Amino acid sequence: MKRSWAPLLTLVLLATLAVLLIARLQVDHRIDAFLPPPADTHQAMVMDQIGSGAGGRLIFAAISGAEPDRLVEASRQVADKWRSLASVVRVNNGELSQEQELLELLDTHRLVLLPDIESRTEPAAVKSALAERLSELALAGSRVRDRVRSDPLGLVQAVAERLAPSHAPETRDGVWLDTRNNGDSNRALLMIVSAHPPFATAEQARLIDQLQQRLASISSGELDLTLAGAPVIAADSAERARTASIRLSVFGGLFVLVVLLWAWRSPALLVAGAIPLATGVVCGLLTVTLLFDGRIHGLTLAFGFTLLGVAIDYPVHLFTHSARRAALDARDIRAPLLLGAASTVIAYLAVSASASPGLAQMGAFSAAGLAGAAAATLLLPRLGTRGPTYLPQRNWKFPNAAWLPAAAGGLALIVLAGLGAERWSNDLTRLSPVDADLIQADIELRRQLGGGDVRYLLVASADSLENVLRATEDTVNQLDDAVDQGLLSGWQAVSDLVPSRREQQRRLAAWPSTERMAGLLDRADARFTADAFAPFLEDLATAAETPPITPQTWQTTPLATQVNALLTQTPQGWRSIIAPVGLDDPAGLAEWLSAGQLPAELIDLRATSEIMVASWRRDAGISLAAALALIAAFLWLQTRKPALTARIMLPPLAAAACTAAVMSLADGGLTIVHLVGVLLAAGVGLDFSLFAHLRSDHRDQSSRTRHAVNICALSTGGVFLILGQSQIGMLRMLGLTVALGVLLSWIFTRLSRTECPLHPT
Amino acid sequence: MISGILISLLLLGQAQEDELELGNLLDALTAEPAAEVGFTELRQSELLVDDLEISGTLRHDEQGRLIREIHAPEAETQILSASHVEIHRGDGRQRRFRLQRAPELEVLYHALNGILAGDAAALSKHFDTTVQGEWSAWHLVLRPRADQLAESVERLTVCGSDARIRQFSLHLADGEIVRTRLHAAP
Repeated sequence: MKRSWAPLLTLVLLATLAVLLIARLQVDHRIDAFLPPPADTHQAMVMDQIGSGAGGRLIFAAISGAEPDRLVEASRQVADKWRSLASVVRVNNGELSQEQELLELLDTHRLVLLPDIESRTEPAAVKSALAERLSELALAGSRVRDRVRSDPLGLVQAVAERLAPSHAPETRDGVWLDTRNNGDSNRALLMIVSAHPPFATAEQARLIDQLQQRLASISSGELDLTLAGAPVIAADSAERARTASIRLSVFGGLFVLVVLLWAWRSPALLVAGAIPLATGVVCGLLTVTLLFDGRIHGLTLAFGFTLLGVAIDYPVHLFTHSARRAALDARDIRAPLLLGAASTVIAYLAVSASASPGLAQMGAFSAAGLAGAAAATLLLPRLGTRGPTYLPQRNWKFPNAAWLPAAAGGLALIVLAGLGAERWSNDLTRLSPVDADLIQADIELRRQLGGGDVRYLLVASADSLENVLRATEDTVNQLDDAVDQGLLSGWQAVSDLVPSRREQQRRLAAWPSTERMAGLLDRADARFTADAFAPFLEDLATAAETPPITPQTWQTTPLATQVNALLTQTPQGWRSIIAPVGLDDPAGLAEWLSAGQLPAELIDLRATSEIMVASWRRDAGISLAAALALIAAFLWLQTRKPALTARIMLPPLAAAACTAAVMSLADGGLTIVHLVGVLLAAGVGLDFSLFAHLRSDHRDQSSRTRHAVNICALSTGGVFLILGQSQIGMLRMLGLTVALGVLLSWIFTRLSRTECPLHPT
Repeated sequence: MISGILISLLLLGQAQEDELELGNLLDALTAEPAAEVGFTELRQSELLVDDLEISGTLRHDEQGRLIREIHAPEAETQILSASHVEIHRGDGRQRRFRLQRAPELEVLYHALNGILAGDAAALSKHFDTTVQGEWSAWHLVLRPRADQLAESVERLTVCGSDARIRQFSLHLADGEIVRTRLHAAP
């Protein structure tokens, strides 16, 4: 009696441990976790653009569904409501005139924020500026008096107009309103800075809810809200990963339960069979906790449950080979199980060496998990569970046709070779766990608000802030020529907001002396009193004492998002983006840039991302090939028989080649996820093949092996088929690939003869 | 309702027999509307040697907008609608902002709209109204009801005799008084 409780107690202990470990883990949902770290400036730009860069707390909002005037009103109302939320640092709807702090800063630095001081201080320009001041006095009297006194040349207004150039989102009554949305509808655009970092997904999700509720409170259902940005992506991906984990564990678990009950009709064996799985999950979680600082990507967690599908094979073999015996006995299966587990662990260790943190976690989790599950299976007999009393005799008959896997594998290789570059897919967004539509909305809104091109960026890099600003200015100064040549229609650059020290000094020096300026103002319009502009002249006299503008100057204003998006500190120094607008001829502009030897280069984000994905896949392909070679070498070392090694490896390799060919044709080209899936399926197939080559002194050994392999194929294939139904593109690709690979491995194993048995040592 | 109604500000009215109260006053003012009226507005500013004289014409268009065509000190057109002000400058530049951003214009818009439409209810919606004096010299005092508006504008006094408006005085909260005299359009 006491012994029958031991398995249940062990399982409860393991489950408790797993729950405790999961509770301690910080689940991470960054979009780029499955991408390799950027190798150069171009790649770093790609990563920044898909939301892992500086704008990690930025939420973009678009309100649509009404006439422009209603949208403008809604933008104002909702901005006020959103500003009152505790989780919101700032809301910007384009209305800079409401931003007192910003206006003060523009005022403080108005003498160095415009490049054309010389032309603004010509007598005719001063005369025209004073005429405008007179109009303002006529319109608003004492409300503009102080402004007119301190800024007779209208510098602040000129700076504001320069910062909101015509190609930025259009404004209507001062609020961003996009009417160019392919004629579809008008949209009011807003930017929200969240108080939470993007990985605080629970808080972000709550904030997103609040944003939507506040909009609903001012709308009678007619207004639609589209949200985008890193926090939205993180919250969405957290929700998807959570749903996927729950669904996979529920459906996968139920499925495995049904298969095992069907196979042995024994609840006690179900409990015993669950112990290796639980041990695997605990080992995986422990490894991730120790190696990755207690942070796990949501998808690694979801993926971890697919271990169910692989690790369940071990107890299945154990039970089948112990059926109708007094107790569980692992002697018969020790050799193939250890060989199989060791080879799979080797393959996963190769994956865990990946440069992508997400894949590395997956590899480490799986390697540790499978090793733990294998060890627990071998130790399971010590818990004293009785073997199954039931062993079905029925078996599918397969012809002996070992040539078929070889032929199919060969054909698949020819197909893959024939596909050439077509066999790969270089689309970066397929590798992201995030909904492609969400990424598209993000990029589109981000660019709308940034006012630049979606695909191309001009980038200048330098070792210091001053140098990168100078490089930006040198480029921007020349870009007018490119505009004249029709290469582009405009641009956005950080130098408008943060001029280099050199440029700030040049501008200061370009101002006339206080006396000359006073004379200019006097002569321009006799209707103003002599001391009307005293505050302006005082500021001019003390301008040199004002601290220079730095990126820090704008950090507490809505312009911070613009500065931070365009100017980034990198490990090597600084990087500045000049966002081209209306770029019709990218090749022409690239040529023009290099001909003029300008210190900026044109980056094609799409081409860069494709190069990045291709090179990453090449690296991963090499480590996967190395894993295969290691497995082959390992098997050969163990068996000392090259022919046997080849026979054992043929079915899984042929299945892997066929799976790769089919997925490449049917799933729009192979990605690294497909490759990982092929590797996983090959590992499972290798187990099938190893067990099929098991020799035993028992007469019914081969029928037991066939039976075990059938159950394994059903349970593993089934779990991955369930995974293949996921909404998350990555999990779907992985699930379908492995399910197909397992099916083919099973067929190919059953078709192969098993004349050269392994010794059960 | 207002569209097409032309401003009646300069009509020489005949002697009125009715009692001087808001409804009768509005009836008298809307009896025979005129197309356009000239105005001269005076604003004081310590920045200027002399008071600033703003002159131009005032009219309504078909959409019920109030159009201030300014000739001096700088040529520009101010178009006032229920929600916005559009300013078209002589040099081709344009600005558009909410009516609420220019309290003087907002008061003027609501006051003239109510008066020209003869709509006592609309006028009372935006202002506390008081009529003082007699038909030969009356004052219509309009105090903004909305707190936001009252913060900037204390009251608008419309002065006239019989069915003729002669002058507006806009009393701003900071003490400045903007006086607008009306005359025949040039």
